[in-house]
Amino acid sequence: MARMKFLCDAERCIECNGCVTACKNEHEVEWGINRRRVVTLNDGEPGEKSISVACMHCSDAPCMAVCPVNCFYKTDEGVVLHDKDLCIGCGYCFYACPFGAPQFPQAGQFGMRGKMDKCTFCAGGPEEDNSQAEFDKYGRNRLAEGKLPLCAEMCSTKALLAGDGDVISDVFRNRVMIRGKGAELPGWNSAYGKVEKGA
Amino acid sequence: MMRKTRLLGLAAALAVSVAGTACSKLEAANEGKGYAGKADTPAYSSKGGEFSEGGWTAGDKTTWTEAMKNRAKSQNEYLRTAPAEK
Repeated sequence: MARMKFLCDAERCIECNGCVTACKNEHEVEWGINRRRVVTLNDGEPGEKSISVACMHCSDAPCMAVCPVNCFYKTDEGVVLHDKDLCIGCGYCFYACPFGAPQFPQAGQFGMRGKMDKCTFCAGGPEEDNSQAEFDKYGRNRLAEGKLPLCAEMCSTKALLAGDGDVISDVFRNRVMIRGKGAELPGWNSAYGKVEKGA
Repeated sequence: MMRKTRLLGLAAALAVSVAGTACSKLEAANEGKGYAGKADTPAYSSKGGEFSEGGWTAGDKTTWTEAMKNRAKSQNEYLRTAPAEK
């Protein structure tokens, strides 16, 4: 069974923010929401590293555990999604997430939070596939079109990989063997550390 | 007395390991309640509209999975060009 994963190669990311732009454009994400961000460690110092961060679709997702209305579910491919019709915007998932993935629109008065929005691995949500309702709430459903998330597909240096965990692990392993360094994977252990049955 | 202490220790260790197993999965916190929202259709169930790619059969998980794996493999640029000889 395919288990969809993201993998960011810190040796290759050049902080171009192309993934962020692609995501915002593809899903027409509203102002103030960033489903994906590029984080730079030791910015300005020699050897700085950048990584592209979004929902990592954790194997054992903390957001699912803390949600008081149980609006999260996991697809057969291991993609963590949620039902916006059920979300109450409480923000518990934001506190639980080690990657800061859940985002909340704050367009209302008094800093009122809207319904949570996060990376869907370009898999839409619980609406009819590729329908207007799905696009309006969750963005495009590229998985149903046989495509991978756009952030990874358009990454110019191929720092960001997405797809079946075994396949992208092989791609990364091959790369590390050839260049002979940089096997560290920021966030990998937090998100996918424990091996699941059938993973 | 010694045997009693050993048995107590063993029981305590067993209890800790059982509790550890029960709490090792975060999602278990939601167990029994489950997902309360609308049911979603699998990604492979529809043909994906006019922009779909990969040539899988709608409703066939095997062909869809294979198509997705092939697409993921294409992210390896070393398959397109041989690495320069050192």
